[in-house]
Amino acid sequence: MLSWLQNAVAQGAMIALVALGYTMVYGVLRLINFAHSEVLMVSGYVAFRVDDRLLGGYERGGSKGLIIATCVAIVAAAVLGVTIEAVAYRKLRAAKGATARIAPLVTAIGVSMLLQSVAQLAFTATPQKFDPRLAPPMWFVIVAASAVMAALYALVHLTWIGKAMRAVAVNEEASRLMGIRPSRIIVFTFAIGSALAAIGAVLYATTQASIEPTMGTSIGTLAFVAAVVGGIGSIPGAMLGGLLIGLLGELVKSTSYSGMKDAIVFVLLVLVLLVRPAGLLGSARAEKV
Amino acid sequence: MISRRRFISQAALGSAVAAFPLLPGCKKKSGELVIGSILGLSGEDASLGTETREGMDIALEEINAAGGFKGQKVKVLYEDTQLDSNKANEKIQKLIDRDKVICVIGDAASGPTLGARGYAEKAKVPLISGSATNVEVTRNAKYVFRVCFTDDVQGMAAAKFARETLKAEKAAIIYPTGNKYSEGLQAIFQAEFEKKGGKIVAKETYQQGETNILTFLTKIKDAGPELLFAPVYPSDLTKIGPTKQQIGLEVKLLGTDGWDGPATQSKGVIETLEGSYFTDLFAADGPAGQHAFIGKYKDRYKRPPSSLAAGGYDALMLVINALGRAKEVTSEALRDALEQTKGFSGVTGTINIDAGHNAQKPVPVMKIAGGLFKFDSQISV
Repeated sequence: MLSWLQNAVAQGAMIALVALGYTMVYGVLRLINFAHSEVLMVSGYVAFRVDDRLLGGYERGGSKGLIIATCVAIVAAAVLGVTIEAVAYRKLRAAKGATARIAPLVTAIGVSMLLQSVAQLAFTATPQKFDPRLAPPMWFVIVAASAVMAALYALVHLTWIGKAMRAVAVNEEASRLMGIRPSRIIVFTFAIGSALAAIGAVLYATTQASIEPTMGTSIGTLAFVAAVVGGIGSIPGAMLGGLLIGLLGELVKSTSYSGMKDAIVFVLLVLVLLVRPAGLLGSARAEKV
Repeated sequence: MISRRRFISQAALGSAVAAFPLLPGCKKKSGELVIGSILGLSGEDASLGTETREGMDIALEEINAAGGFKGQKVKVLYEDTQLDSNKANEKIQKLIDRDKVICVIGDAASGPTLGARGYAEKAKVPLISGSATNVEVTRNAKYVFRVCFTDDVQGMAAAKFARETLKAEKAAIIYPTGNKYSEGLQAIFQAEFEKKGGKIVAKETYQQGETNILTFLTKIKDAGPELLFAPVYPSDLTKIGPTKQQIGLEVKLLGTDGWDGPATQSKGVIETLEGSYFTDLFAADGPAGQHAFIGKYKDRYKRPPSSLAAGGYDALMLVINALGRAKEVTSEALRDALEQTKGFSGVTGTINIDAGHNAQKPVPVMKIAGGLFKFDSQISV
């Protein structure tokens, strides 16, 4: 029972880490950043390549090597996230009218496809796997993810830049009048969200999944749904949503309907959204125009 | 005036239209015998397809070095199915309609072969698989053949081995739903194991592509079996082995020919499978392993051929052999000749195509010892 619960919470914590990236960007930009799952995939590759090629994998690098590789992947993910924002989204923010929402959304999907195809060319479609002996125990996944999320919470609520992020999320114009530069805050948000995805990617890839160009879509979909169910734009909501999906998934897996896990989990989540359309912790207030 | 951009796009369109009639004909040259092949060559279990192709490559070289087929150079066109049944259906249509192949070899796995079967039957073009073992693949088929035995035979052999050699009384089963191969095998294993007086104490199913199977193995541990039957592909085995060790599940693992692949032998996985057994289609170090192909394969790829490579080799060799016996070089005549195959000597043993279009042979059981697949024994059912 204990190991079951540990596993379920660990699954949820990993989903939550990725969900945070979706929800933070939505919070400040009202943009669903579909390229987020590809940032996750690329950082998985970076961590794997650095660990495998430069640090000698399990045999020579051990868990110390993995930690170094993770740090490299975090930096790479942050750089990639910021680059995507600068190249693909920044120009479109000036758009007004009907295209103001649609253009960035379509661009996000485009960036996602582009990165997937580039990854397929660069790394081939053959899935790669971390040595299973590098897998951290489940309790470590929970502790690491909780620590990262606690740090994020502190960052958002206790620091100046966190306050600025919240201000931009509430009203970009007003925060500009208060001396905040929204464009800097947006860059910072992308960097943090991507870094979280990198941590999620390493935990996910070492404990269970193989690294392949489409790996982002499988965990990314779950994370996106977690963000929506928790209430997109809400940071505690993303954590809660991730945990909920992890627990529900493992619950279904322990019944005899385990072969239909995704279908059952998603039906349950649709029911949640029917009762609370804005998500569990989302605010239902009308959006200001 | 036409703007420059518009002119370019019109010119591009024009040349594409002009080139179009050339396309279908450009692949087929006279004096060439074109055979199609659908194989899962990419994705998590790509080794199933790539190893089959390695075997076919060696067969093709031997055939062409010996002068081809009646003076015609033999050529194989490959299409990637990603082991997906819808893709397989799409790709076999391409090969038959566009490339006008005389027959199609593939796929390496049951799901995509079943996906392609319908069109092969409709177009009346033979489809020959080297390693698709699911019973349904050839059931009531007129144009579908295989050079291996079926899962009826394999599942019964596995159950017999579990009960009589390993003396297991309580067994558990784990398999992915939606995988025709795994679903077929587990049902046959269960029926036969129970018929022989054994008991299935736990049966766990998971969604194909599931990444975390800890919950399932924990439940199996609680049921306390002596043996765990896992008719799965290597990508799933790389999760089952390490997780089993992680939670300290002390059971003998028994698998099937789906295990045969390099992912099973990867570092950190093979150690957790030490002492496990699996039934296979072919053993390079077994009684059937006396063929020149084995040495040739080892020289080139620096490892012994898997059952997939051997199956691919046998499938292509049998096609050429049957074409030699056929009245004329047509798909229809090839079908008739394939049906009459008796005593064809292949790498995987003597191939007799029976009334059900299968090639029944004794089942080799492999043991994982010292990180290698070793021939253990042979089971006849």
